[in-house]
Amino acid sequence: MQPSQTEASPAIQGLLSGDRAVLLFCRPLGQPYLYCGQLTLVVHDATARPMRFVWELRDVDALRAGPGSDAFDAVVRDAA
Amino acid sequence: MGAAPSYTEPRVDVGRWRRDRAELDADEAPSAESATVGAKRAANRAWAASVAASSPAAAPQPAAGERSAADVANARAGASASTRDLHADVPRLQREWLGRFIPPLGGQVKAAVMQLAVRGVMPKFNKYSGIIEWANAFFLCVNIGGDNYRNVFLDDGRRMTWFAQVRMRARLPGNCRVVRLMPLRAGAGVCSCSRRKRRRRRRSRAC
Repeated sequence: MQPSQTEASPAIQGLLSGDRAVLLFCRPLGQPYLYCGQLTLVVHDATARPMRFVWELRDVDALRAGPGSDAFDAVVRDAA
Repeated sequence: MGAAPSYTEPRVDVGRWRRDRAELDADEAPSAESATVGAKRAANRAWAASVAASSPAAAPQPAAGERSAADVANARAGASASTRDLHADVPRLQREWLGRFIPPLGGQVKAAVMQLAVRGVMPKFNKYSGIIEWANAFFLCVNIGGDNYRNVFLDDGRRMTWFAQVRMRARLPGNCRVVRLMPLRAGAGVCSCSRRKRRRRRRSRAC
């Protein structure tokens, strides 16, 4: 079981402060993690339970231009 | 758009892989090296190259002897340090692993990610958490697909929704401390631990 996360949780405060890089690793079913680059926080909803965030993928153009473009497109398609 | 790429785990001797990675990551001092050590390192590099080539993502080589800012910052931390005390090598991840699958270490997919972020050590981390906290970064580990996951990509993959963990566990000592710090919230200020546990934890200053 995972611990609770509210706006007061240290990890969430760290994410909201923006003083550290946020990196995204996506794991499609039955596969290892795919590194999808760095994120920038667009908006978060602290009143929602669970807390909801929208992140912008800063490296999406590089992902699409690189050798992992098929893998990334598959991840996007699976999560659509 | 083609079919989803499939992934087949390469056969890797995990113990040997770790030993060899540690050697590859170690500083090289050519003047002090004997010919035997040099030959062994060359053989290890060749073996590591063959393992990397067997990965579908064609994992790039770590540059032996090259020390990143994260390596320097981590030099003081012990071999069994937590990720919170260590600096992840973000520039190297960006340079070498963007858009690549990270080969599992003996079937452990998250541990493989953690070991890639630092060299030569296996940091301690919470394998059940989706947020891994480092001294200089956060890793969001997100599961995609399946009925239990609601993370979705928007705007043709340029944005992603993400949800924090939902379960409340006020019985954890750490969360008791958080609850005490939030007296204005509904239901807060009262620890849900049993009286006996509260007494015991108060003695140990956990609650």
